Amino acid sequence: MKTIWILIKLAWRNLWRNVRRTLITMVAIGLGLALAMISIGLGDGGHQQMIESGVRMGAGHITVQPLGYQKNPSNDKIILNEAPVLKALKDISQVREVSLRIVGKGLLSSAANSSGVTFRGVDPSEEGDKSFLAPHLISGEYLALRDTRDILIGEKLAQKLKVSVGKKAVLMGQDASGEVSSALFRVKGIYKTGVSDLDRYFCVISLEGARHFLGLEQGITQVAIYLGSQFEVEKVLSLLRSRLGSLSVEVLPWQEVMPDLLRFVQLDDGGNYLFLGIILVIVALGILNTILMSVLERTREFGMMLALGLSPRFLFLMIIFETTLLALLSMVFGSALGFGGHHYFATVGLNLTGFTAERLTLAGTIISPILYSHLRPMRVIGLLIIIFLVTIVTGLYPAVKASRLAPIKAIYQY
Amino acid sequence: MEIIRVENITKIYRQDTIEIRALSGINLSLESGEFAVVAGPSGSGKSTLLNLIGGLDRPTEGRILLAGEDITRMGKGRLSQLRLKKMGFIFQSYNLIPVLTAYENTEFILLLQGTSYQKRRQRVMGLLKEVGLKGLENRRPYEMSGGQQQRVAVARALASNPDLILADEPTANLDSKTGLALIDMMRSMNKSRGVTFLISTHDTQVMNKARRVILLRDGQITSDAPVGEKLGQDNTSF
Repeated sequence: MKTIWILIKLAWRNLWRNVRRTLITMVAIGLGLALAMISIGLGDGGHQQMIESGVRMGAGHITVQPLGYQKNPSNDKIILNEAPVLKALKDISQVREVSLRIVGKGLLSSAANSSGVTFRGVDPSEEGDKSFLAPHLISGEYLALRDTRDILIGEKLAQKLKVSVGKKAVLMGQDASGEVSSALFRVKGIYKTGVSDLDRYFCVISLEGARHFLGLEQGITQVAIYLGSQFEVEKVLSLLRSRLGSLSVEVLPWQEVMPDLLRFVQLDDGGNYLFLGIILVIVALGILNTILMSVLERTREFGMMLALGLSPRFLFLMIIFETTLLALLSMVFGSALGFGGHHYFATVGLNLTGFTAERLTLAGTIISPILYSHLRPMRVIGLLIIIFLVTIVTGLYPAVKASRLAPIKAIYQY
Repeated sequence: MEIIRVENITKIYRQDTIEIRALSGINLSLESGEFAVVAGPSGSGKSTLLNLIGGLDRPTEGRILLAGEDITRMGKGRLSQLRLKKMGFIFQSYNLIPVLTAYENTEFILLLQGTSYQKRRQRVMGLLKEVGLKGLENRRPYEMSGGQQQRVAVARALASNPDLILADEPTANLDSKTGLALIDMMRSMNKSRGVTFLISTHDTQVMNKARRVILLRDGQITSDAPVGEKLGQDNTSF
């Protein structure tokens, strides 16, 4: 133990023999770590915004819908009694909001043209759905509670149908019993989200209007569940699946309902990991350069230490301690810098309005052009462990090289 | 008691197709407590002989016994332990650890040996006082003169109470006065502690202080005699 202590002491002092070199390496590693933290924070923050936007526009963090609906959606698949679902959700603290909806497909026609659409029947008083679409209205108003015959459509759809607010459109399709159904609606509002699918092929009617169109007295096709955090999905999902196992419904996470969004996030994560990999390689080369230089210029000294009786194993350890200390110092510096950057971008945000449109649409979601950093503790711990391991692994080569020195050669040839 | 026995040692260095015979058929015996000098011109094989005796290098032929143990067949680990416990080294270029103070350089060997703090402190302070460095314990090598650094090296070599101290041209980088003072100090340690010294040199001043001078030329011993007896013809030629 005493030997280990003197080796650590020696390693610490060796590190400061060339103060400038150690500081430059420390700054390089620290900057790499800080950049990685900020990059992960902004990446995860952006993904979080995308997922939140996606679930808000889509079917919630968790979706309860009729069994088989995801594979074969059709207007005849109905949850006739939503009460057991609502009861199952009642005491789950992570649930922030629940939206009951009827989702279906049809053909929306005007006097001028027609277009295939996905319609969503919502409760006009339900804030969640309102908060998603209302901010994007460019003309007209959001649905009111008694508006069973009103419809909200996208700007592109309105242009195609050549309709404006107050004009009529007919929704045609199959009702719940498979019969042809049609209903007349009046355009109450026109929205523009920037998401092509929403602006061209999507419309919103009231829940009552949708029931009327499908010929239903009661029932819904979808329960969209919004949680306090997207990271609680797994926990709530398993609880709900166990509670609703006896019902003829499927309980799906957003990843299964919106596989395209999941794939985009994964692909983007892949790009981020590549960037991190490049940073790690730069960090590793920086450490290798410092430690190798420091080992090479001390060859004679190492030879003398070996001659005095220091075992090659202890010499190896001493170099590893030097690397470890350098890694720890750099990590402290880098973490401070990284957390500072993260804090700034988490509060002020990274404003990309200079580079992009006012509203950024990605993978069918709308995200703000101001990115906010979100750094999860596990990501930081993982990154620190990786940087630490990379540092140690990089230090292995110089350490092995030093420990294999022949004392006589080292003393007389260097 | 015989501390070192060198039996028919030959050392050949090979570089590509060239062979350099550094030592050839060396036989030598050193008794405990001797103060002997290996002398000879540059390239005569002095350092090679000391390195072989110190277990820093292996002979091409022959064997070396340290207190009866054959060190030429020992593994690296055992040799390392042997050097740590039974030998002390003094090199030509001081070879102190630059980041450690005089105290810490002397203490280094004792730390590797696992000696307790109290014993270490007592021993290191005593040795530094003995080599005339009292008050300079906290100086780092670059804050000391060459002579002072070499004194630290002597203190370090003595720290572990070794059976044998090997000093390779210890005065080569010192002026004659400082060199002589260092040799006097080593001689006095030899007398007071009974530790065996084997010193390589081509400095006649050092040779004059020795009790035994072994003359090497072209890798062979040309003379081995106590000082005072007539040395071979080579003694004044370097």
